[in-house]
Amino acid sequence: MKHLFTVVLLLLLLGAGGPAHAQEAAQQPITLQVQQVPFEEFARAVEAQTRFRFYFNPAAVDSVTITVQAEQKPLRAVLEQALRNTPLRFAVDAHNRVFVTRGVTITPELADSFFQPEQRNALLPQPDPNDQDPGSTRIRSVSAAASKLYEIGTSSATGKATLSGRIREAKTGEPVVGATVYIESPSIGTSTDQFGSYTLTLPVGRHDVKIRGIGIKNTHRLVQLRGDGRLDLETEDDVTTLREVVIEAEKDRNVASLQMGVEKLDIKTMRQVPTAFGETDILRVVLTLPGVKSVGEGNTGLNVRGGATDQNLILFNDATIYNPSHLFGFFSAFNPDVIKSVELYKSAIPAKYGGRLSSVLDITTREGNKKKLSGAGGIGPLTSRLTLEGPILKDKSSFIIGARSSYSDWILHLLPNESFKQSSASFNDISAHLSHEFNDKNTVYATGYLSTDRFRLASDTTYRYLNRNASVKWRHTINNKLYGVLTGATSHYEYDITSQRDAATASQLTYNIKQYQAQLDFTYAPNSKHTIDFGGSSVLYHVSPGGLRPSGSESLITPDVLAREQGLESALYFSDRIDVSPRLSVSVGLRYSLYNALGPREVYNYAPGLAKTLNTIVDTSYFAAGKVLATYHGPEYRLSARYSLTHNSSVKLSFNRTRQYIHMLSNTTAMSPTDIWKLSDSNIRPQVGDQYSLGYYRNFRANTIEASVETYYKSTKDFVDYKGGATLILNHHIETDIVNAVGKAYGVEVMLRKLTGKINGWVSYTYSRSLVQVNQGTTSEMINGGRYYPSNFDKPHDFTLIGNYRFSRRISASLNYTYSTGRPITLPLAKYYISNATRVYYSERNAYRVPDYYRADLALNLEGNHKVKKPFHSSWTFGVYNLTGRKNPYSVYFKSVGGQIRGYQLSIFGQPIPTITYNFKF
Amino acid sequence: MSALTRLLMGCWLLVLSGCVEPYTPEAVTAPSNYLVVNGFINGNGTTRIRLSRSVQISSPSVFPAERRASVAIQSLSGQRYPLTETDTAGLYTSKQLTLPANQSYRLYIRTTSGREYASDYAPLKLTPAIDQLQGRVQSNGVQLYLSTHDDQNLTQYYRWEYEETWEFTSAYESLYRYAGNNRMVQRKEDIYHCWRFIPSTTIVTTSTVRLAQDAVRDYRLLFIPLASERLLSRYSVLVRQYALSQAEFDYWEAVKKNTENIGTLFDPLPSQIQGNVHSLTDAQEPVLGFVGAATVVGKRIFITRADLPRDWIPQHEGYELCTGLDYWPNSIKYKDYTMDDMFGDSVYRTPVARQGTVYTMQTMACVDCRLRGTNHKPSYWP
Repeated sequence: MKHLFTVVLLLLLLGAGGPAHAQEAAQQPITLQVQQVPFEEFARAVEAQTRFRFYFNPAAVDSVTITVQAEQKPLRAVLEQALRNTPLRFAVDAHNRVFVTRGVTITPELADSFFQPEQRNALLPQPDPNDQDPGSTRIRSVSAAASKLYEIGTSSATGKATLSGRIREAKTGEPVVGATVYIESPSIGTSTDQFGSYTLTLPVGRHDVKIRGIGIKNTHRLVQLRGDGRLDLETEDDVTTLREVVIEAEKDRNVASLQMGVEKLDIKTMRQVPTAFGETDILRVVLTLPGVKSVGEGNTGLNVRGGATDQNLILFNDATIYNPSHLFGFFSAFNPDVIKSVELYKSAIPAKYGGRLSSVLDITTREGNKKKLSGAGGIGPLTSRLTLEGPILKDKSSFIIGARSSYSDWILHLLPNESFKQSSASFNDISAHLSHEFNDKNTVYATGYLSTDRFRLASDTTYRYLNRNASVKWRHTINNKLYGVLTGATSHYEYDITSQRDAATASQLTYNIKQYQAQLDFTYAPNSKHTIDFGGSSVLYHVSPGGLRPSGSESLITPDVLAREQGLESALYFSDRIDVSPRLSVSVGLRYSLYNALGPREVYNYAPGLAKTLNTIVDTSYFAAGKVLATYHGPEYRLSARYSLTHNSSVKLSFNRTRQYIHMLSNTTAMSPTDIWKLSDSNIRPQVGDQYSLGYYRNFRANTIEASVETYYKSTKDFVDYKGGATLILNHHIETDIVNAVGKAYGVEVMLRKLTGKINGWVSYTYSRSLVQVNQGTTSEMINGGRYYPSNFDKPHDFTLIGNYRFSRRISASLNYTYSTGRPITLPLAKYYISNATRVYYSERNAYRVPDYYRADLALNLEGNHKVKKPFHSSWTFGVYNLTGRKNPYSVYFKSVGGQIRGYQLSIFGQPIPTITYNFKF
Repeated sequence: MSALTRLLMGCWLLVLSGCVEPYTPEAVTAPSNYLVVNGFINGNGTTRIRLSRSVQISSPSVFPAERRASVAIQSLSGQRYPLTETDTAGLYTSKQLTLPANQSYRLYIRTTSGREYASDYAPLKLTPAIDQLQGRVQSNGVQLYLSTHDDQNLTQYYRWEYEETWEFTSAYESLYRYAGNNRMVQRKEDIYHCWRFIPSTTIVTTSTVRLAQDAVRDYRLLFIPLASERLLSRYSVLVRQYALSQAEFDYWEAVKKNTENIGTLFDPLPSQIQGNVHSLTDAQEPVLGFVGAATVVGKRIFITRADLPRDWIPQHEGYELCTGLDYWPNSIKYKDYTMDDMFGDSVYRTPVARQGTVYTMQTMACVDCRLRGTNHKPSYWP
């Protein structure tokens, strides 16, 4: 139908034509050499040499560039060459008229059988197979759709009307997230949410609605808006990424977006960063961003702006992940093939999120391909992965399932070395995502995630840990201005350490945490000036904080199991984004959170006013199941504002308060750290953090280079630090070993980014401090005499360079360089003999630093040809991790060996590590 | 093995074996030579102060004594009670003193190198008497309980040290001694019955601040498992009780946790401990130790085998390998041995008994209890 419409339209538009000297003209040879010129320019060049006249819809050829080399060639040959890799088709009629269309080929003459209706299809030699639903406003033929005029709404009211809809990728049916939908006069715009939905309130009338975004081709729709209505559309995948697309999108993000302290990385960007084992590692890429640090090599625990690693909310499709790494942090626990994007909120955390102080890392998976079954995978030196996706019900529901496994055990057992044969190290993860669209208004998404790790070195201790998550989301559109999402999620994390040194002391140490979560979020866009988000959530925690049990019948270990803990965290939030003027936008939000620590549990009561020690326990209270043993609550403010100074620079500021009711205790002095998540209770208060930040953003050179400077100051109350001599594992009264510290962190982050051109990448430098103070209780309880001391992750200087050079579309090389100050450490300085025993004298806490960290990696990507229609795409990645072979310490620890205490430095990647990875897609 | 496999394996080797290297930052390898002051100012007896030096953590645990220092107790009002170095290097003792109460004291040290040190002035704490020290039989051993109290609510922080002594025998009683020149003589000295003496190595403290009354009731001081050698015949424990100031109590609480066990999962996290001794010469110089001032009370009790259930079988400790006796001369094993060959080196073979011309024998370790204790009966032993 629509093709016919297009053709008719074209024929009408091109009513006039020149005299008929077709044969004569067709013989005219053309000599032309053009490189990457817009189609219109090419057409003018041909018109200048010949009598041919080009007829086309400028919108249809927009963004198409032509490269052609012709030496005395006839027109037909030239056009075939020129339009080969474009969506454009041509037809030449007897009057030297060249009709250029997009997607379909027209036949300029009426077919002989034109007046026989049953053979009408012959008019359209390549009917679009997807065109099965000609009656709906959903636009199937992407290219043709741009030139059509859509009439939206029925009433002929005056004033404003709301236009909403969803944007999806034409090829896979996946929603397009973060694309900008806007009109230019008046300047009104919005961006699509995580479901690809948008809502725009526009004046009634005719508009040119433009759509731009990363990874999609820029497009637009002519809309005659009469009243409220929907406009769903599909965009084309940007196969040959166009400069303009990227620039526009990034321009929006850096300067014009209201959000500050947000880093959004899509999987394409992440794939370019070289990694240790050739596999894209999202956490490792996140670590290269300014303000994000890790304690050391091979550690994916993130320290965001001087915050502890437990202060990050890591969400995998809205389910909390407690341990985002494999093999003690050498790999991140997410399969890159199922990831769509990663968003890190460092300062202006939306009111929707809460429960952690420092940041939110929101990882979203892709939706499966709704059109056809396809897959991707990779084979690397240590791991392989495979992802399958496809429709269940075409265009309605789809699945994507990705699995990853290491085959390290197999390799280890091949080794001649006996101690390696006894070692094992393996991990697996599976993620699955289902989506089903019941109708325009109701969509359901379900995600499951499982990751397991097992690790045993030549020693006799086996480490095992597991993440298990599931989430279900129901998105319901109530009307054009309001939609809601209901989410249910569970998270489970557990680890155990089994020691088998000898039968008598064989034991197993276990830990687990379970989390059940329900959440209801609404987005309401009453008019073009306001976007309101509101909702509530509730999280129920169950923690088994530790147990030591005998392993095997001969073990003499007496079981020691800590009592379980329960807690309920609930919150309500409301936020409004107000576009005061095109230059000024403000977002105000309030989240109110409430935490109840619940029974059944025994709680020690300590003498008031005295430090909590075993000697100050007054009595014990017992709380029955479901009884509240402690309640904490408080508001969390979220404020941010953006003011555009010029069209390419802006200033943003934000203020944030966050509250955290769950704390991680980490024994970092051991060679293999174990972490314990502890809930707030009557003895451990929640942490409260305030962050102020201010940033300046500016784009240079026609938006190809973007620069930003952000500064922040952060203060934290009741931050959890441990007392000197604390025992963290199997401690029945952990509160006696914990202090509520005061933290402060400040810093400045400078980033320069270029995402287009042959050379692209980013450079960032951060100066930041993260300091802690324990200045309460008696002198002996104060740490470092009550002065501020560097936190475990205080690394003042941090420099990162991520550079890519594209030799051609198929070959690219990337270089990654990072430098950071070594992390602080408390050193044993001496030993001495007192009171009939040898004791160790330590330095002040964190008075020294481990050696500075630096590393350079290099990678080379070779891709197969880029034919769109090719069924099987593959690529090779060659890389060298740690090019200079620097021995960066992974862990620094001290061990007592035969009465002598010796320090050891364990570096994991102490030599250049070459890797080869083969990736494929079908 | 294909090249690929080899590459894969290489990668894994790198990952797994990692690269463990000694970590020796300057701060750790720098020669450590801090003064360590061990002891307290005794308000009603002899003050014993041991001065030593700390060592670098990777050195063997041999701590050099600080010799020929000038050490004295000073009161805030200007009294001075000198300490003199004993025959034990680094051990300084005072005369038998009764220090006036209601006065603050400090320890003053001047080393041979001329550096001066002093502890903070501490008021002399008067330690209340031990009300009761008692061993009670439980199903799996003996639990020692201690009770004490202070009617004036002034003590609040207590510390105990104890010395255990017990009588034991070696595995076999040697009645003969080889005197050389093929001469076997009857043994005069008793090397079968010995006493073993062990001072407490743990720091035992408690506090009564959370209690309405300054009283310690049935504090579980020490547990002796029923199989312990301590219960073989007679066991004695001397408990010394000290009153502590709060600062001193906190200090010992912290020291308790800073043992030399570090680096494994279950070990406590490090902490810096500040004592109350400072250098007067260089305020930045760390000095280790805490010198409090208190009177001491002691109490000794005995537990004899007769007080314990009959079915308890305490084990000889350290004699687990002493099973059976060899004999000579008519054993095939020692066919051609002369008496000198046999008993020339008593470490390998010490005669035990004689039956006619045949001697039974065991190793020195199994018969000589002096290797694990002393055969001098302590003065307090009944």
